[in-house]
Amino acid sequence: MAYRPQRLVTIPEGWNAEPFIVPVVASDVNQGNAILAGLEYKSIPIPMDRDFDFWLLGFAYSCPQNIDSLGFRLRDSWGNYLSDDYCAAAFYALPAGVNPAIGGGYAPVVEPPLYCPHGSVLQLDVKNLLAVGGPAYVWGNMELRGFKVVPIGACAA
Amino acid sequence: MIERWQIYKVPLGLVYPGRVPVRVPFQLDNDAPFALRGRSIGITESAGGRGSPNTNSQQFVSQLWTRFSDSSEHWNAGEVIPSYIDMPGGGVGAPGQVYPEKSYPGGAILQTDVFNDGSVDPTNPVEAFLYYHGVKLYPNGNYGQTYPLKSQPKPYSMTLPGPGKTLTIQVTDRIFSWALQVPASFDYAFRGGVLGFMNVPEGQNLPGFRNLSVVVKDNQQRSYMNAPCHVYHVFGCPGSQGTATTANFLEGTFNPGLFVPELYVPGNQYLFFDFERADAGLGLGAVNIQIVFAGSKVVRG
Repeated sequence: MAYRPQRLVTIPEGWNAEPFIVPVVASDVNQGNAILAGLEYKSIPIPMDRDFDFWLLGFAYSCPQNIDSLGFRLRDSWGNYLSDDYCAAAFYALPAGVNPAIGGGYAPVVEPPLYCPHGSVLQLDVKNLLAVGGPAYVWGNMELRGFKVVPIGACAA
Repeated sequence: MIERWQIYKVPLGLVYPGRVPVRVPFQLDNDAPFALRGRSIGITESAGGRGSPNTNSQQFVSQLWTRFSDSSEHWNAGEVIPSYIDMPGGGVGAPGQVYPEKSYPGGAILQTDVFNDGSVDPTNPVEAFLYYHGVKLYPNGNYGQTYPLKSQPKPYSMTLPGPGKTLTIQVTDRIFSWALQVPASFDYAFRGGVLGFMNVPEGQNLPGFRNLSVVVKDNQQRSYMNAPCHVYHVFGCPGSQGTATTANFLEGTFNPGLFVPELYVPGNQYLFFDFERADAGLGLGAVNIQIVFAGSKVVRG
Protein backbone atom coordinates (compact mmCIF):
# COMPACT_ATOMS: atom_id res chain seq x y z
CA MET A 1 0.00 0.00 0.00
CA ALA A 2 1.17 3.50 -0.65
CA TYR A 3 2.40 5.16 2.51
CA ARG A 4 0.70 8.32 3.57
CA PRO A 5 1.29 9.79 7.02
CA GLN A 6 -1.70 10.96 8.95
CA ARG A 7 -0.73 14.00 10.95
CA LEU A 8 -3.21 14.76 13.61
CA VAL A 9 -2.99 17.60 16.07
CA THR A 10 -2.25 16.39 19.58
CA ILE A 11 -4.17 18.29 22.22
CA PRO A 12 -2.30 18.52 25.56
CA GLU A 13 -3.99 17.05 28.60
CA GLY A 14 -6.13 19.61 30.35
CA TRP A 15 -6.75 21.53 27.12
CA ASN A 16 -9.53 21.28 24.61
CA ALA A 17 -10.09 22.00 20.91
CA GLU A 18 -12.81 24.60 20.47
CA PRO A 19 -14.15 25.19 16.94
CA PHE A 20 -13.39 28.71 15.78
CA ILE A 21 -13.74 30.72 12.58
CA VAL A 22 -11.62 33.67 11.48
CA PRO A 23 -13.63 35.72 8.97
CA VAL A 24 -12.14 37.79 6.15
CA VAL A 25 -14.99 39.98 4.97
CA ALA A 26 -15.32 42.17 1.91
CA SER A 27 -14.49 45.37 3.78
CA ASP A 28 -11.10 43.92 4.70
CA VAL A 29 -10.01 43.97 1.05
CA ASN A 30 -9.79 47.31 -0.76
CA GLN A 31 -12.34 48.64 1.73
CA GLY A 32 -15.05 46.68 -0.02
CA ASN A 33 -14.53 48.38 -3.37
CA ALA A 34 -14.18 46.57 -6.66
CA ILE A 35 -10.77 45.28 -7.66
CA LEU A 36 -10.03 46.35 -11.21
CA ALA A 37 -8.75 43.85 -13.74
CA GLY A 38 -5.02 43.32 -13.43
CA LEU A 39 -4.73 45.00 -10.03
CA GLU A 40 -3.46 43.26 -6.93
CA TYR A 41 -3.52 44.09 -3.24
CA LYS A 42 -0.74 42.57 -1.22
CA SER A 43 -0.12 41.76 2.42
CA ILE A 44 -3.60 42.28 3.75
CA PRO A 45 -3.24 41.33 7.41
CA ILE A 46 -5.39 38.66 9.02
CA PRO A 47 -4.58 38.95 12.73
CA MET A 48 -5.07 35.98 14.99
CA ASP A 49 -6.63 36.48 18.39
CA ARG A 50 -4.21 37.05 21.20
CA ASP A 51 -5.75 34.61 23.64
CA PHE A 52 -5.01 31.13 22.26
CA ASP A 53 -3.29 29.39 19.36
CA PHE A 54 -5.35 28.65 16.27
CA TRP A 55 -5.11 25.62 13.99
CA LEU A 56 -6.36 26.19 10.45
CA LEU A 57 -8.18 23.16 9.02
CA GLY A 58 -9.78 24.65 5.90
CA PHE A 59 -11.10 27.75 4.24
CA ALA A 60 -14.32 28.56 2.48
CA TYR A 61 -14.94 31.44 0.09
CA SER A 62 -18.23 32.73 -1.17
CA CYS A 63 -19.11 35.59 -3.43
CA PRO A 64 -22.37 36.69 -5.00
CA GLN A 65 -20.58 37.50 -8.24
CA ASN A 66 -19.08 35.42 -10.96
CA ILE A 67 -15.59 35.26 -9.51
CA ASP A 68 -13.82 32.81 -11.74
CA SER A 69 -11.03 35.33 -12.27
CA LEU A 70 -10.36 36.61 -8.77
CA GLY A 71 -7.23 35.02 -7.38
CA PHE A 72 -5.65 35.02 -3.97
CA ARG A 73 -2.79 33.50 -2.05
CA LEU A 74 -2.14 33.22 1.66
CA ARG A 75 0.95 33.44 3.79
CA ASP A 76 1.33 31.72 7.12
CA SER A 77 2.46 33.30 10.37
CA TRP A 78 6.10 33.16 9.27
CA GLY A 79 5.57 34.63 5.81
CA ASN A 80 5.63 31.33 3.88
CA TYR A 81 3.30 31.24 0.92
CA LEU A 82 0.68 28.51 0.87
CA SER A 83 0.65 28.36 -2.93
CA ASP A 84 3.15 28.97 -5.70
CA ASP A 85 1.01 31.59 -7.42
CA TYR A 86 -2.35 33.32 -7.28
CA CYS A 87 -5.05 30.66 -7.31
CA ALA A 88 -8.43 31.47 -8.82
CA ALA A 89 -10.84 31.46 -5.90
CA ALA A 90 -13.34 29.47 -7.91
CA PHE A 91 -10.91 26.57 -8.28
CA TYR A 92 -9.27 26.92 -4.90
CA ALA A 93 -11.59 27.89 -2.15
CA LEU A 94 -15.24 27.38 -3.02
CA PRO A 95 -16.87 24.77 -0.81
CA ALA A 96 -17.53 21.54 -2.65
CA GLY A 97 -21.22 20.90 -3.13
CA VAL A 98 -22.29 24.41 -2.22
CA ASN A 99 -25.75 25.41 -3.33
CA PRO A 100 -25.64 28.94 -4.76
CA ALA A 101 -29.04 29.72 -3.31
CA ILE A 102 -28.58 28.44 0.20
CA GLY A 103 -24.83 28.06 0.64
CA GLY A 104 -23.39 25.13 2.50
CA GLY A 105 -20.90 22.64 1.16
CA TYR A 106 -17.60 21.32 2.37
CA ALA A 107 -14.71 23.68 2.92
CA PRO A 108 -11.51 22.86 1.04
CA VAL A 109 -9.17 21.19 3.46
CA VAL A 110 -5.79 22.46 4.59
CA GLU A 111 -3.65 19.36 5.03
CA PRO A 112 -1.80 19.04 7.32
CA PRO A 113 -3.47 21.56 9.66
CA LEU A 114 -1.67 24.88 9.80
CA TYR A 115 -0.44 26.15 13.17
CA CYS A 116 -1.11 29.85 13.77
CA PRO A 117 0.30 31.09 17.09
CA HIS A 118 -1.85 33.48 19.09
CA GLY A 119 -1.16 37.08 18.19
CA SER A 120 0.47 36.19 14.87
CA VAL A 121 -0.65 37.54 11.51
CA LEU A 122 -1.54 35.67 8.34
CA GLN A 123 -1.28 37.69 5.16
CA LEU A 124 -3.55 37.70 2.15
CA ASP A 125 -2.71 38.79 -1.40
CA VAL A 126 -5.64 39.34 -3.77
CA LYS A 127 -5.48 39.91 -7.51
CA ASN A 128 -7.95 40.26 -10.34
CA LEU A 129 -6.42 37.80 -12.79
CA LEU A 130 -8.03 39.29 -15.90
CA ALA A 131 -6.10 41.49 -18.29
CA VAL A 132 -6.53 45.24 -17.91
CA GLY A 133 -9.91 46.25 -19.28
CA GLY A 134 -11.73 43.17 -18.03
CA PRO A 135 -14.49 43.15 -15.43
CA ALA A 136 -13.84 44.31 -11.89
CA TYR A 137 -14.71 42.17 -8.91
CA VAL A 138 -15.52 42.77 -5.28
CA TRP A 139 -13.94 40.47 -2.76
CA GLY A 140 -16.57 38.25 -1.20
CA ASN A 141 -16.41 36.65 2.19
CA MET A 142 -13.95 34.06 3.37
CA GLU A 143 -13.88 31.98 6.48
CA LEU A 144 -10.76 30.41 7.91
CA ARG A 145 -12.14 27.42 9.76
CA GLY A 146 -10.35 25.54 12.47
CA PHE A 147 -10.06 25.40 16.22
CA LYS A 148 -8.37 27.06 19.14
CA VAL A 149 -6.59 25.06 21.78
CA VAL A 150 -7.97 26.35 25.08
CA PRO A 151 -7.81 25.23 28.70
CA ILE A 152 -10.81 23.11 29.60
CA GLY A 153 -13.47 25.43 30.83
CA ALA A 154 -12.37 28.42 28.80
CA CYS A 155 -14.29 29.70 25.82
CA ALA A 156 -12.61 30.07 22.40
CA ALA A 157 -14.19 33.40 21.62
CA MET B 1 2.53 -3.79 -2.88
CA ILE B 2 2.54 -0.34 -4.44
CA GLU B 3 -0.67 1.24 -5.65
CA ARG B 4 -0.54 3.63 -8.58
CA TRP B 5 -3.42 5.84 -9.66
CA GLN B 6 -4.97 4.66 -12.93
CA ILE B 7 -7.93 5.56 -15.12
CA TYR B 8 -9.01 3.38 -18.03
CA LYS B 9 -11.07 5.19 -20.61
CA VAL B 10 -13.21 2.72 -22.56
CA PRO B 11 -14.77 4.05 -25.77
CA LEU B 12 -18.28 2.67 -26.17
CA GLY B 13 -18.71 3.91 -29.72
CA LEU B 14 -21.92 5.34 -31.10
CA VAL B 15 -24.83 4.16 -28.98
CA TYR B 16 -28.14 4.33 -30.84
CA PRO B 17 -31.36 4.86 -28.90
CA GLY B 18 -33.75 1.98 -28.45
CA ARG B 19 -31.52 -0.83 -29.73
CA VAL B 20 -30.46 -3.89 -27.76
CA PRO B 21 -27.56 -3.32 -25.36
CA VAL B 22 -24.16 -3.23 -27.02
CA ARG B 23 -21.37 -5.35 -25.50
CA VAL B 24 -17.93 -3.69 -25.52
CA PRO B 25 -14.89 -5.77 -24.55
CA PHE B 26 -11.77 -3.95 -23.41
CA GLN B 27 -8.36 -5.41 -22.61
CA LEU B 28 -6.52 -3.91 -19.65
CA ASP B 29 -2.78 -3.28 -19.73
CA ASN B 30 -0.48 -6.25 -19.38
CA ASP B 31 2.03 -4.64 -17.06
CA ALA B 32 0.13 -4.84 -13.78
CA PRO B 33 -3.10 -6.00 -12.13
CA PHE B 34 -5.82 -3.42 -11.74
CA ALA B 35 -8.12 -2.78 -8.80
CA LEU B 36 -11.36 -1.12 -9.90
CA ARG B 37 -12.89 1.29 -7.37
CA GLY B 38 -15.12 3.67 -9.30
CA ARG B 39 -16.79 4.46 -12.60
CA SER B 40 -17.90 7.58 -14.42
CA ILE B 41 -19.46 8.13 -17.82
CA GLY B 42 -19.35 10.90 -20.39
CA ILE B 43 -20.02 11.66 -24.02
CA THR B 44 -18.50 13.62 -26.84
CA GLU B 45 -20.48 16.82 -27.11
CA SER B 46 -21.27 18.02 -30.58
CA ALA B 47 -23.49 20.46 -32.41
CA GLY B 48 -25.48 18.00 -34.47
CA GLY B 49 -24.39 15.18 -36.70
CA ARG B 50 -23.32 12.40 -34.41
CA GLY B 51 -24.91 14.07 -31.42
CA SER B 52 -27.70 16.54 -31.47
CA PRO B 53 -28.21 20.29 -31.68
CA ASN B 54 -28.50 20.23 -27.91
CA THR B 55 -25.02 20.07 -26.40
CA ASN B 56 -25.89 19.54 -22.76
CA SER B 57 -23.93 16.47 -21.81
CA GLN B 58 -25.76 15.74 -18.58
CA GLN B 59 -29.02 15.26 -20.41
CA PHE B 60 -27.49 12.76 -22.78
CA VAL B 61 -25.63 10.87 -20.09
CA SER B 62 -28.85 10.33 -18.18
CA GLN B 63 -30.29 8.23 -21.00
CA LEU B 64 -27.45 5.72 -20.92
CA TRP B 65 -27.71 2.42 -19.00
CA THR B 66 -24.67 0.27 -18.29
CA ARG B 67 -23.26 -2.72 -16.46
CA PHE B 68 -19.78 -4.25 -16.39
CA SER B 69 -18.08 -7.60 -15.79
CA ASP B 70 -15.07 -8.82 -13.90
CA SER B 71 -12.34 -10.85 -15.57
CA SER B 72 -14.37 -14.08 -15.11
CA GLU B 73 -17.34 -12.57 -16.85
CA HIS B 74 -19.36 -12.17 -13.69
CA TRP B 75 -21.51 -9.12 -14.12
CA ASN B 76 -22.16 -6.47 -11.50
CA ALA B 77 -25.88 -6.49 -12.31
CA GLY B 78 -28.39 -8.88 -13.88
CA GLU B 79 -29.24 -6.31 -16.53
CA VAL B 80 -28.09 -2.85 -17.54
CA ILE B 81 -29.02 -0.18 -15.00
CA PRO B 82 -29.45 3.57 -15.48
CA SER B 83 -26.21 5.50 -15.19
CA TYR B 84 -27.94 8.21 -13.17
CA ILE B 85 -28.45 5.67 -10.40
CA ASP B 86 -24.96 4.19 -10.06
CA MET B 87 -23.05 7.20 -11.44
CA PRO B 88 -25.02 10.29 -10.39
CA GLY B 89 -24.27 13.28 -12.58
CA GLY B 90 -22.17 11.02 -14.78
CA GLY B 91 -19.86 10.48 -11.83
CA VAL B 92 -17.66 13.45 -12.75
CA GLY B 93 -15.36 14.27 -9.84
CA ALA B 94 -17.13 11.70 -7.70
CA PRO B 95 -17.07 8.38 -9.53
CA GLY B 96 -19.81 5.93 -8.74
CA GLN B 97 -18.37 3.57 -6.16
CA VAL B 98 -17.36 0.02 -6.87
CA TYR B 99 -17.17 -1.41 -3.38
CA PRO B 100 -15.64 -3.72 -2.51
CA GLU B 101 -13.10 -3.21 -5.25
CA LYS B 102 -12.90 -5.63 -8.17
CA SER B 103 -9.48 -7.01 -9.03
CA TYR B 104 -8.36 -7.75 -12.57
CA PRO B 105 -5.16 -9.57 -13.52
CA GLY B 106 -2.86 -7.94 -16.05
CA GLY B 107 -4.25 -8.21 -19.55
CA ALA B 108 -7.73 -9.14 -18.34
CA ILE B 109 -10.82 -8.44 -20.39
CA LEU B 110 -13.30 -6.00 -18.87
CA GLN B 111 -16.67 -6.01 -20.59
CA THR B 112 -19.24 -3.26 -20.64
CA ASP B 113 -22.87 -3.43 -21.72
CA VAL B 114 -24.43 -0.11 -22.71
CA PHE B 115 -27.96 0.80 -23.69
CA ASN B 116 -29.45 4.09 -24.82
CA ASP B 117 -33.08 4.49 -23.75
CA GLY B 118 -33.58 7.56 -25.96
CA SER B 119 -35.42 9.42 -23.23
CA VAL B 120 -33.68 12.70 -24.03
CA ASP B 121 -33.00 12.33 -27.72
CA PRO B 122 -34.90 9.42 -29.31
CA THR B 123 -33.34 9.98 -32.74
CA ASN B 124 -29.60 10.56 -32.64
CA PRO B 125 -26.88 8.30 -31.25
CA VAL B 126 -24.39 9.52 -28.69
CA GLU B 127 -20.67 8.82 -28.62
CA ALA B 128 -20.13 7.55 -25.09
CA PHE B 129 -17.11 6.76 -22.91
CA LEU B 130 -16.84 4.90 -19.65
CA TYR B 131 -14.06 5.79 -17.25
CA TYR B 132 -12.90 3.03 -14.90
CA HIS B 133 -11.11 4.55 -11.90
CA GLY B 134 -8.80 2.59 -9.68
CA VAL B 135 -5.20 1.66 -9.06
CA LYS B 136 -2.58 -0.49 -10.72
CA LEU B 137 -0.72 -2.81 -8.36
CA TYR B 138 3.05 -3.10 -8.59
CA PRO B 139 5.60 -4.99 -6.50
CA ASN B 140 7.52 -3.00 -3.94
CA GLY B 141 10.33 -1.05 -5.52
CA ASN B 142 8.43 0.26 -8.50
CA TYR B 143 6.88 3.71 -8.25
CA GLY B 144 7.85 3.60 -4.59
CA GLN B 145 8.98 7.16 -4.04
CA THR B 146 7.41 8.49 -0.91
CA TYR B 147 8.04 10.54 2.19
CA PRO B 148 11.57 10.55 3.60
CA LEU B 149 11.92 9.24 7.14
CA LYS B 150 12.49 12.74 8.45
CA SER B 151 10.24 15.30 6.85
CA GLN B 152 7.92 18.15 7.63
CA PRO B 153 4.79 18.60 5.51
CA LYS B 154 3.00 21.91 5.07
CA PRO B 155 -0.25 22.68 3.30
CA TYR B 156 0.53 24.07 -0.13
CA SER B 157 -1.11 24.49 -3.51
CA MET B 158 0.74 24.32 -6.79
CA THR B 159 -0.73 25.76 -9.96
CA LEU B 160 -0.59 24.92 -13.62
CA PRO B 161 0.51 26.54 -15.94
CA GLY B 162 2.73 27.86 -13.15
CA PRO B 163 3.72 31.26 -11.81
CA GLY B 164 3.78 33.95 -14.44
CA LYS B 165 2.74 31.62 -17.25
CA THR B 166 -0.39 31.47 -19.36
CA LEU B 167 -1.79 28.32 -20.93
CA THR B 168 -4.10 29.16 -23.81
CA ILE B 169 -5.93 26.32 -25.51
CA GLN B 170 -7.44 26.96 -28.91
CA VAL B 171 -10.79 25.57 -30.06
CA THR B 172 -9.03 22.69 -31.78
CA ASP B 173 -5.71 22.12 -30.15
CA ARG B 174 -3.18 19.62 -28.90
CA ILE B 175 -0.57 20.44 -26.31
CA PHE B 176 1.95 17.75 -25.47
CA SER B 177 3.91 17.36 -22.25
CA TRP B 178 3.25 20.66 -20.53
CA ALA B 179 5.76 20.35 -17.69
CA LEU B 180 5.03 21.16 -14.08
CA GLN B 181 8.23 21.00 -12.07
CA VAL B 182 8.34 20.66 -8.32
CA PRO B 183 10.90 23.15 -6.96
CA ALA B 184 14.20 21.77 -5.73
CA SER B 185 13.61 22.94 -2.18
CA PHE B 186 10.82 20.50 -1.36
CA ASP B 187 8.90 17.41 -2.46
CA TYR B 188 5.23 17.67 -3.26
CA ALA B 189 2.32 15.32 -2.63
CA PHE B 190 -0.42 15.90 -5.22
CA ARG B 191 -3.78 14.87 -3.76
CA GLY B 192 -6.22 16.46 -6.17
CA GLY B 193 -6.85 19.31 -8.51
CA VAL B 194 -9.53 21.60 -9.88
CA LEU B 195 -9.44 22.91 -13.43
CA GLY B 196 -11.15 26.04 -14.64
CA PHE B 197 -10.83 28.92 -17.03
CA MET B 198 -10.85 32.62 -16.56
CA ASN B 199 -11.58 34.57 -19.67
CA VAL B 200 -15.28 34.23 -20.35
CA PRO B 201 -17.00 37.62 -20.42
CA GLU B 202 -19.17 38.35 -17.43
CA GLY B 203 -22.66 36.97 -17.81
CA GLN B 204 -21.99 35.14 -21.05
CA ASN B 205 -23.91 31.94 -20.73
CA LEU B 206 -21.33 29.70 -22.34
CA PRO B 207 -18.85 27.27 -20.94
CA GLY B 208 -15.25 27.84 -21.89
CA PHE B 209 -14.86 24.39 -23.37
CA ARG B 210 -16.82 21.24 -24.06
CA ASN B 211 -14.46 18.51 -25.17
CA LEU B 212 -11.20 19.14 -23.36
CA SER B 213 -9.20 16.05 -22.45
CA VAL B 214 -6.05 15.52 -20.48
CA VAL B 215 -3.39 12.89 -19.90
CA VAL B 216 -1.36 13.10 -16.70
CA LYS B 217 2.13 11.59 -16.83
CA ASP B 218 4.85 11.05 -14.26
CA ASN B 219 8.48 12.13 -14.34
CA GLN B 220 9.36 9.35 -16.79
CA GLN B 221 6.36 10.30 -18.95
CA ARG B 222 4.51 7.14 -17.94
CA SER B 223 0.85 7.86 -18.15
CA TYR B 224 -1.72 7.50 -15.38
CA MET B 225 -4.45 6.85 -17.95
CA ASN B 226 -4.70 4.87 -21.15
CA ALA B 227 -6.11 7.67 -23.28
CA PRO B 228 -6.96 11.36 -23.02
CA CYS B 229 -9.74 11.67 -20.44
CA HIS B 230 -12.21 14.52 -20.24
CA VAL B 231 -10.95 17.00 -17.68
CA TYR B 232 -14.20 16.81 -15.71
CA HIS B 233 -13.51 13.15 -15.01
CA VAL B 234 -9.98 13.89 -13.81
CA PHE B 235 -10.27 17.27 -12.12
CA GLY B 236 -13.95 17.34 -11.20
CA CYS B 237 -16.89 19.19 -12.59
CA PRO B 238 -17.41 22.91 -12.27
CA GLY B 239 -20.78 24.16 -11.16
CA SER B 240 -20.74 25.09 -7.53
CA GLN B 241 -21.35 28.78 -7.84
CA GLY B 242 -23.70 30.84 -9.92
CA THR B 243 -26.57 33.29 -9.86
CA ALA B 244 -29.65 33.97 -11.88
CA THR B 245 -27.63 36.17 -14.20
CA THR B 246 -24.45 34.17 -14.51
CA ALA B 247 -24.01 30.64 -15.67
CA ASN B 248 -23.81 28.13 -12.89
CA PHE B 249 -21.30 25.94 -14.66
CA LEU B 250 -18.53 28.46 -14.88
CA GLU B 251 -17.09 27.83 -11.45
CA GLY B 252 -15.07 25.06 -9.97
CA THR B 253 -14.90 22.67 -7.08
CA PHE B 254 -18.37 21.20 -7.14
CA ASN B 255 -16.62 17.87 -6.84
CA PRO B 256 -12.86 18.31 -6.89
CA GLY B 257 -11.01 15.55 -8.67
CA LEU B 258 -8.92 13.44 -6.32
CA PHE B 259 -5.77 11.49 -7.12
CA VAL B 260 -5.94 8.25 -5.17
CA PRO B 261 -3.42 7.37 -3.98
CA GLU B 262 -1.67 10.69 -3.95
CA LEU B 263 1.12 11.38 -6.44
CA TYR B 264 4.37 11.91 -4.55
CA VAL B 265 6.80 13.89 -6.68
CA PRO B 266 10.31 14.56 -5.32
CA GLY B 267 11.89 17.96 -5.73
CA ASN B 268 13.20 18.83 -9.20
CA GLN B 269 10.97 16.18 -10.79
CA TYR B 270 8.03 16.75 -13.08
CA LEU B 271 4.46 15.91 -13.80
CA PHE B 272 3.59 16.23 -17.48
CA PHE B 273 0.21 17.07 -18.95
CA ASP B 274 -1.11 16.51 -22.46
CA PHE B 275 -4.19 18.50 -23.42
CA GLU B 276 -6.46 17.80 -26.36
CA ARG B 277 -9.42 19.94 -27.32
CA ALA B 278 -11.98 19.26 -30.07
CA ASP B 279 -14.62 21.98 -29.91
CA ALA B 280 -14.82 22.97 -33.57
CA GLY B 281 -18.30 24.06 -34.62
CA LEU B 282 -19.59 24.66 -31.10
CA GLY B 283 -19.30 28.43 -31.18
CA LEU B 284 -16.60 28.56 -28.55
CA GLY B 285 -13.32 30.41 -28.35
CA ALA B 286 -9.85 29.94 -26.95
CA VAL B 287 -9.59 29.63 -23.18
CA ASN B 288 -6.92 30.32 -20.62
CA ILE B 289 -7.00 27.51 -18.12
CA GLN B 290 -5.64 27.14 -14.64
CA ILE B 291 -5.38 24.03 -12.50
CA VAL B 292 -5.04 24.46 -8.75
CA PHE B 293 -3.62 21.37 -7.10
CA ALA B 294 -4.31 20.51 -3.49
CA GLY B 295 -1.62 18.79 -1.50
CA SER B 296 1.35 19.24 0.75
CA LYS B 297 4.88 20.42 0.29
CA VAL B 298 7.24 18.07 2.09
CA VAL B 299 10.41 19.65 3.42
CA ARG B 300 13.20 17.19 4.12
CA GLY B 301 14.84 17.08 7.52
